[in-house]
Amino acid sequence: MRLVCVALAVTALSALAEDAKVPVQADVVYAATAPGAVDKGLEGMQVTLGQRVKYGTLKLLSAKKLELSKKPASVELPNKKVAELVLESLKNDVATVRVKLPPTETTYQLGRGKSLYVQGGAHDAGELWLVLAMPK
Amino acid sequence: MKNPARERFLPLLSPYVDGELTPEERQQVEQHLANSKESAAQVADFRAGDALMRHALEMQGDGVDWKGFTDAVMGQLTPEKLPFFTRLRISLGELFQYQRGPMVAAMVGAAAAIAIAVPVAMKLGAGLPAGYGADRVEVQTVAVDSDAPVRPVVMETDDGDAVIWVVADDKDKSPDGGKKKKKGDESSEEELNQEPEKRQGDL
Repeated sequence: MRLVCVALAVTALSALAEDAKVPVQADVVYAATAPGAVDKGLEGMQVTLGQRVKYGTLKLLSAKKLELSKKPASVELPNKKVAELVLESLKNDVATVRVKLPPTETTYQLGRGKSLYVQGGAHDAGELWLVLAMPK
Repeated sequence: MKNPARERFLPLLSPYVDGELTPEERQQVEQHLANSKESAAQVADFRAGDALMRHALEMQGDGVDWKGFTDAVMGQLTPEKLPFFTRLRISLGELFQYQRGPMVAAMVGAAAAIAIAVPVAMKLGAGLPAGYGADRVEVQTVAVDSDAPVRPVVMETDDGDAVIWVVADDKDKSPDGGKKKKKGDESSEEELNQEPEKRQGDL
């Protein structure tokens, strides 16, 4: 009985010691100005990016749900680039995330229901975009 | 003519029939009855009267519904209800006195459950805080590799989204052009000069 209690206490303390984790949805989208199809759910992205570039084709290449912590999480892009995401801090119930997608490195605060679009480089006559958001 | 012995034993005859005498008194009365026919006859009358009375009561009792009689009587005998804390104290005292082992085990189990549940709840709360995002995406810094011939352009939309564009940097060769931030609505652009950054990349 005593051993069980000690084990339980150690488990509880180790649970406390672990870092907080924040789930983030990381999607990789192929975008091209050539007329084509826009995948379902990417209409909002087309409108947002359309303020600067009119993309006629948007295709969801991958969708990954990451658990961000102090330990880097990575997302591979088809153009061999790798995005690294780290939970920078979690203060006042707002998570700050650092995204390294060469050649840029961005630090930003997550927004509820909002997305961060990071241009990920050229690919197959178009461009890749990394779309980060809180999972729905 | 008065019989002194009968005078002495007369008050004891009824208790004798009812079985209320001590063994010594009973023995004395029985010796007296053996010598006094009058007293013996009176004792016989008492017993006959008792039997008659018992029989009459039994006949009367047969017609009565005795269902719930015990509960009704015991209900009237129930003492006044004790205050809650007094009853609780007595109950706990009895539990610890007669069920000490199971009670101690139960308390240890409860303490262990609390020791696990509280940190786990805190962990879950820390891992998934209610609304771990702000009202909008807010880009704090954008750095670009110092040797990449590009500059970042940040566009924050009215909807609360943010876009990091990477554009060719025609004028970029200045020492402070490595780290830039652009912020504003859809069309306006603004650059924030920051310290130089390493440059690499192929965009």
